[in-house]
Amino acid sequence: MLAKYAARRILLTIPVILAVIALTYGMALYGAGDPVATLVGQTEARGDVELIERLRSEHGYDRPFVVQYADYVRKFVSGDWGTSFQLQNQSVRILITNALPVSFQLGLVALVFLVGFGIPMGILAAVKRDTWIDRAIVSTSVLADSIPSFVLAPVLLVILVLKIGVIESAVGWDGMFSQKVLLPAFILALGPMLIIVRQTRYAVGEVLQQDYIRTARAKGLGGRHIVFGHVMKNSLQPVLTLSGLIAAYLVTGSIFIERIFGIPGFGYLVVTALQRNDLPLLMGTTIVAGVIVLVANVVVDISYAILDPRVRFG
Amino acid sequence: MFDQTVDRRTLLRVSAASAATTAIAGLGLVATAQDTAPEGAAEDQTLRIAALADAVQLDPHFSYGRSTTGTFTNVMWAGLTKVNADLEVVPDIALSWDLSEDGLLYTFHIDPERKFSDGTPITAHTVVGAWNRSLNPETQSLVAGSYLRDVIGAADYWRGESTELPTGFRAIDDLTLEVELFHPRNYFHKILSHPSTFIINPDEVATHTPDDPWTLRAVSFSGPFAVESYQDRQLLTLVRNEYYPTNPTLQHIVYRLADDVQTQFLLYQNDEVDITPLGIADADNVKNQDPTYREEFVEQPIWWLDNLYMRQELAPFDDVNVRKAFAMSIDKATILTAVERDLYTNMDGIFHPEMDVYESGEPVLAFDPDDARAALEASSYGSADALPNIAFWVTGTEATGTEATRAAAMQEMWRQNLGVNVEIRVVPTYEEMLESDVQLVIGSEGIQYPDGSTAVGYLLCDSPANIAQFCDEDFDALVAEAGMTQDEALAIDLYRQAQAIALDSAALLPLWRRANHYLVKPHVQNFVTTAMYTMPSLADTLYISEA
Repeated sequence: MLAKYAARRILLTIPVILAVIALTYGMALYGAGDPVATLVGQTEARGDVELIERLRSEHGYDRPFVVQYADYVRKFVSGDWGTSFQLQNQSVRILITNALPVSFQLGLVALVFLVGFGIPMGILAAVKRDTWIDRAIVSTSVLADSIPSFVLAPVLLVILVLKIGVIESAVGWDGMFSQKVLLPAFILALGPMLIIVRQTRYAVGEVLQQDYIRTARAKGLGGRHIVFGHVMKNSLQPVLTLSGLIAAYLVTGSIFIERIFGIPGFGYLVVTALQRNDLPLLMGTTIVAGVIVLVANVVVDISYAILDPRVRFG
Repeated sequence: MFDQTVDRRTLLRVSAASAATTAIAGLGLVATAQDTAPEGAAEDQTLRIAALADAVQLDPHFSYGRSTTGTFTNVMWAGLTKVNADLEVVPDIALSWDLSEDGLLYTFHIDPERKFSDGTPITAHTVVGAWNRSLNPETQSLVAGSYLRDVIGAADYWRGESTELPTGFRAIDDLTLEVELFHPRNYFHKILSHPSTFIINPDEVATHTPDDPWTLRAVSFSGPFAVESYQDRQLLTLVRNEYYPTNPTLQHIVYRLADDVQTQFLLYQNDEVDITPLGIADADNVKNQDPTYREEFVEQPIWWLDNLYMRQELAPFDDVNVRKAFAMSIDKATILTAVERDLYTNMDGIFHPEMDVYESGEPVLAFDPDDARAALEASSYGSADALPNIAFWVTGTEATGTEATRAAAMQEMWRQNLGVNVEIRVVPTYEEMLESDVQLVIGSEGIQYPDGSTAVGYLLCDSPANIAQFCDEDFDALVAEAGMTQDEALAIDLYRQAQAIALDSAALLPLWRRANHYLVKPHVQNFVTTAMYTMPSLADTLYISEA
């Protein structure tokens, strides 16, 4: 039953991916700015109509849309994702496969922060509901969510690196086990922190009202035993599945963070592709981002069913 | 897995070359940095520069834009000629050249001592191979064919109209290269200082695939430095080319790559780099407000001219008096101070002060509201009320610049001085602007090599870059003659006459030239930067002194 459900969910992603390709290709080709004209426009050859038309023809952009689309899908499936217009004429596939692990690592550290801070704070807020601790935790989370990362990042960089000097160097990438990853990962985690805190607070609060918790207290069990032994395992399931969805965001949504901290990850590529209208790179990054989000959704759905035996499939 | 450093085989080759060089140096056969370093030089001669990750281009034949060529390309690659610190075009890989009497045949004499950084000799055959590669339509260099268009066979090959290799350049022997032109071009040798003609090792390039680009494992560099390692969008580390004739004092140059100007500034403040370019906001802050880094501030005007164009094929700017009226209504001094914060320099003509062709004098289109109103009255429209709707182009995308403020200032000046209300219209791209009916445009013109021809080329009738839609047969004839004559003084005079035609007809209003701004640490000695973005002293006298 579970296997059938999983297979169906996976198969359903295929038409969605094809639709993403069609939409993205259409918008990139016919949207804001011709990619070839943009490329030429960045050089002293700008305005050279003859050159632009020749390059469009060489790249096949003068063919009917359906022909271009089918050709692109065929090549994509066979591993030919084109070459970037802007980045050393490198293979888009190589660029993305080099960048993705960086973003995964950054996202993983951010997830550790998110789960490591968000869940305990949510639990504490629920246990100390309607006290100053609860209010402080929730308002801090709201504040953290309100400040955009592209504002917070440079401010913290200046304060922590230049003024206080607690961080020696925060720009660049030396791997997920270096000191440099801490600040960008922390800022990246702040965005969805509010969701985790509030979801945990709500879920734990609901469980704390249950009869079996009252029974546990009546039996004389200590607070810590109740929380870790009963509350957490019954309340964190929705939080963990939510974390799975957030994980996809942490990989694909780290655009500003990677840009500011000079981290050569996936977000960095996306920004480059968008800013410079690099069509092959734009297509590759959009498709991969779409696949990541779709896969995350499928994984969450399947894991939810595994974690909760009460879930039935339609 | 994510840093594309040189592979093991390449590392062994570079190490072998370095070991051989060290051995040769030890025999006293080649002067090393230790022999030539001035007193007080630090032992570690590594210069760290903050740079834009997007500007990195390891392949000279894809090097577009002065920021890329000046910061990176000219440091790694070389051509037959180069632009020196005085902005003169001087010999480089070609020690000298002869020109036939009819101006159609150049004979270049290659330096017999020149080698790539791995010791491979650079010969005339290498030059032919490099140019064939640059012009090859499969290479897809966007500009090679336009720079070498005067060479017989070059443009046709580049455009794919001929599959035959160009016959206009040929190696007579290892040290002699002949180049044959369609018509005389007295500035042809200057074009050879442009990266599209720089010398790469054709054998190395031939191994390129998109999955394994040759640039990421190249060991044959013709310039003063070679790539030692490259971490994509992180670090570009260069090592001195021991075969380069000027024998740089620096041993390494490390580019810290970032794409945010504030991050670059932060690296400098945190002592992680020795030199950083400054964005406009930081340059204004350092120059005009906060004195903390003022001692380390360097300002270099560049050959980047902003012009106001009044598109002549669109009413009302088909009337020369309307163009003059709008031009003379602009108080550039006020804009330069209040909007551009004295970071740019006023220009009254097309030619930059460092160019031979430049001549100082009274500006033709000086700010004069009275003359402006008189010109409008003398026009076929007679008054502001009779003018059609006029739109001024902005992209709306210049987030950290002064585009919006500048546009508003000019709009107000036309309103106050002429009584004309100009619409500010957002059109996101240059291509869309060209197809629109926007009449007023500010365009930027760069100089690709130090010659009058490149400063006027965009005003020729058939130039694709002619935003002004200006077309004057006399102007074109003067420019053509100036480019062909062997009489240098005559050429200068002809270019000046052409400029006079353009300014007298208000084809454009030269506004200002921009500047590059840097911060340079006190321990960096002999830092020189030029109007063409280059840092020529990296290749010779720049050194790091002891702290």
